[in-house]
Amino acid sequence: MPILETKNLTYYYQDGESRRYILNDVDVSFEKGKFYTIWGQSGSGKTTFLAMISALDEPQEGQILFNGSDIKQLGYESYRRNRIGIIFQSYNLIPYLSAVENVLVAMSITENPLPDREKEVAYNLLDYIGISRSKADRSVTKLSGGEQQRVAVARALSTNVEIILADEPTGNLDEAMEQEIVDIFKKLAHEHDKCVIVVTHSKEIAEQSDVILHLHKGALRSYE
Amino acid sequence: MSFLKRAWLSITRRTGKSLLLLLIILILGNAIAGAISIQQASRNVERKIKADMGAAATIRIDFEEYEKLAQQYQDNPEDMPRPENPTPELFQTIGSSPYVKYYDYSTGTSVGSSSLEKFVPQYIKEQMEQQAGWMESDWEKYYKFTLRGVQYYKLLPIEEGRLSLSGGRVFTEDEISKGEAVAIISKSLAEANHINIDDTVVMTNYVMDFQNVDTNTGMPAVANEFDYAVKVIGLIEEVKAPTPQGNQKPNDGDKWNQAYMEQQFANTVYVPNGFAAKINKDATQANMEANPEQYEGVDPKDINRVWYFDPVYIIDDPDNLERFKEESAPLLPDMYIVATTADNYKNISAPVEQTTKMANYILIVAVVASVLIITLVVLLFLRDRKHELGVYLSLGEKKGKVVGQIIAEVLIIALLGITLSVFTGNLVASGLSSSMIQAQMEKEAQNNPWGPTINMGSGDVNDFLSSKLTMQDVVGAYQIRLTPTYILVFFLVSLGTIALSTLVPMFYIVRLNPRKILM
Repeated sequence: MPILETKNLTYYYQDGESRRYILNDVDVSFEKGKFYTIWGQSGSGKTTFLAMISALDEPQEGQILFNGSDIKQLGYESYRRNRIGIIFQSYNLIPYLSAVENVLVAMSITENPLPDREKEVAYNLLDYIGISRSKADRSVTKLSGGEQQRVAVARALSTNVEIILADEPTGNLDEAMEQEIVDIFKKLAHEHDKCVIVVTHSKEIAEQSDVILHLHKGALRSYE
Repeated sequence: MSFLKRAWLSITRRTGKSLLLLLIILILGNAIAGAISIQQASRNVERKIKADMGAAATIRIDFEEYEKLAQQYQDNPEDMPRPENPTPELFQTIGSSPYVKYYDYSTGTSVGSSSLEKFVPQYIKEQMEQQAGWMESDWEKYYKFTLRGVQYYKLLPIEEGRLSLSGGRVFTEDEISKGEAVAIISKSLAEANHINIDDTVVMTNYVMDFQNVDTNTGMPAVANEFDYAVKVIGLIEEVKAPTPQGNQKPNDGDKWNQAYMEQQFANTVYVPNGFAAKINKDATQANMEANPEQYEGVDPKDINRVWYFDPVYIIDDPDNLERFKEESAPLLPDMYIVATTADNYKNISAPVEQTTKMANYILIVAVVASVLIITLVVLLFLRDRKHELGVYLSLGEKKGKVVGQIIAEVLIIALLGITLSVFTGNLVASGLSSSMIQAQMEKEAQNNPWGPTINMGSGDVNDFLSSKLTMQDVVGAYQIRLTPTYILVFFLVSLGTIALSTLVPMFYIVRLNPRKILM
């Protein structure tokens, strides 16, 4: 059973009498343990699609189902809090907090059961992602772009969710760092049974995923 | 990490912005604290001075209105409508108000006596001796004593602690209702004439014949005289207020005033109203016979009517004076008003009142400016933190908690700023108000070099409603202090202002769209 699926997902901009479709009747499903990329040219609607499945925006028509339940019924806020982790292109960390505190913020917001001694868990998670304890206590503004994105990944993982969504997560990183982040995503999907969905315009990244979903003219075509 | 901890970390780690907000709140807080300090101080001074003045009221002609009416009829004064005099029944109706502790009204006259010598204070005697040839006027012999009618058997001045009973007793209700010939006199008059309680003295009412005037002395002949045997039942003396311990010695004028007042009091004889009324009626009848031309065209009803005046109402609480005034005013005849001790306060409180008025304006402007400035500053700070707020929302944080974090941040800084302002604002108010009051005092002195006139009438009215307090007393009582009320009012106003200032930022947060911010 897919963990996440869309049914007749439609999103358009109303321009007077006419409609400009960004997503048109999109049906797609995602499973745990797989690394998906949504690939397409700029303006193809990739980010809009990600915004829909991360409940940051609402489709005009269609449904998004998490484990078979409509996320609208679950509540968008609750869905974001307890079901998904989101990673953004520009990291979007809280600038006056340290790396570990950024992770702790997400852990304090979720209602998912988490192990006791949250701070220790956060340190371990950061260490696993490649942020040492000494760096974990630094203000995030003193970390490099790659390190900041690792913190963002750790934050997304910290709430013990099954779905990781990322919007151009390597857009601000150099090639070496890009590959390291992609490797983390692969590891999360294959070793930790997460469903990782990454929006990218990079063919190189797309080619490393288990499933490429090519978005073109509002329609998604799947390549495995 | 709860939203409150996030708020605390935001404050402590974004020190520049926190300090900037603190500084703004401190400056505005000082203006608000200063204004509230001044308001509180003037309220306290008003309460204190009004309490010192006591709570008494009377009914009197509205002199300003009467003056206007007189001007309207200056060409034909005989056509001017005469104000209808209030009756004893009206005095009693007004006296039944729940705010009235007790009340009195009076009729009276002046009398002479062949058996009693007038009391003359030592200072006046010495002055008379020094100024050889200074003779007492002939009139003095016929009108040595003031008979003051009393309706309240316990005597208002005794009940209010201005006079004390040094011997005998006060009137009984029966003596008052029957108008018996009993009197309460001053201890000094009694001592000067060796009078004891239960002694009988003779008071004489002289009726003068104004048709028959001595060309040398200018004195009319005595047409008739009525002797009244009056039993002395009580002795009274003034309760002296403690005099301020100052270095200034009283000057001759002060000594004269003091001696004159002493003489006035000592020669006042308190009798039941009914008895004073009888003397008046007898005198009127005899006077009509002796001087019929004075009564030509006068309504006989008016001739025989006894006029009661000087109603004095002692009110239970100075705060009830206004209520008493509002309740009684509709009962009064045209051209009459209720005057209270609080009216005196208005006469002497101008410098403080002006300062309070300024403080009220400052308070309104400061609150409005604070709401606008703090709203704008918080909004600007929030625009800077748009991404942070978007992240909380993308993580699924409830909007209420995001709003809560921002309100907590503003409140923590505001509480610090407000607490500091409590003290600094008090200092600001102290400096500001003393210079404002000084300026107002100078202005008042220029406008009214003789100072406010606070003489409300005669008899009890004068005793209870006139005030010896001056503008200096009001200013002297004006003190900027850190009182619990000031602190409470200031915190309420300031926190209310801060709460208003966070309203717009709250809507800003609620309307945030994380997708637009983060993607």
